[in-house]
Amino acid sequence: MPVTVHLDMMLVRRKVKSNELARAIGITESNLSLLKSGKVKGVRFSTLAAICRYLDCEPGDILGYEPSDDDLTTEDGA
Amino acid sequence: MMMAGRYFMSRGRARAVRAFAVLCFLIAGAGVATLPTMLVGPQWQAFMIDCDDGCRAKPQPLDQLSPEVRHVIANLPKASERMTTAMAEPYWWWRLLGIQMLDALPFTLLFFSVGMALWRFSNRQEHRDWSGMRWLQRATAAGIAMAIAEPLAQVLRDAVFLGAMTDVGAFSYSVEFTLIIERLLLACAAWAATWALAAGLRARGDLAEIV
Repeated sequence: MPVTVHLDMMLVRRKVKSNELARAIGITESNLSLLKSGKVKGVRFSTLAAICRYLDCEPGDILGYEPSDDDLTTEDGA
Repeated sequence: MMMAGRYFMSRGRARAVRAFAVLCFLIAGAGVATLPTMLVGPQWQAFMIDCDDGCRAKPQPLDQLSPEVRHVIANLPKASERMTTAMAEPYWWWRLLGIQMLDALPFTLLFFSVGMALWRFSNRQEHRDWSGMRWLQRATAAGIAMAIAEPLAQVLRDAVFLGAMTDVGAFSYSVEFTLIIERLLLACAAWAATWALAAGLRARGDLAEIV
């Protein structure tokens, strides 16, 4: 998927451990691990807001986008 | 999120669901069993137990016909002789076997699919196998086929009996379209409801991957 997750980089910059962030924002470590590896279909705004609040960053610092022609249509063809 | 070891339904309820599933399999089996009996003893598709002279089962093949056709055939001169002659004709029974297949297969498929769906749903674990939904969708599709096939089979069966036993060239026949459309609408509503339920479950499955 061309939406990339740079959470790992942000955690290193802020010197925050994954388990600490998971505890702070109230999601499981396994879900945070999935999010870090980009193996999720989506992120709730509330989760994103909690991460940004804790890491003192913007959503754009965590998520990136690599343009792809496949993105002209959604997955379900809608 | 899945929780290992949590149960979705009680043991008793799971047993009850399985019992209904087995009942559906038995009904489906009875439906499919009518097909070989067409070859072995076709006249026994309908029978009555006559207790006038010691209780004995008597074949009543005309009972499969619609009342108006049965009335016409019953009033024919030498009806029983014509019936015996017609029964000796092998092609006649092959035609009836085809009609019986048209009649029984959607019915059998419907009950088998409901049985399979119930069996799959009786899995007690929370992370159950939702493939039962697919069987429910098949059952509703069979319901739609059944709503059309049953009246069609009745018309064809009546026509085969009339053709073999009477010299009537043309016969006026009233078909209850209101009833057919009602059944068809019900079957379509069941299909749409199952489809919506399956779509909802799929959407919930997608949501599980959103953190």
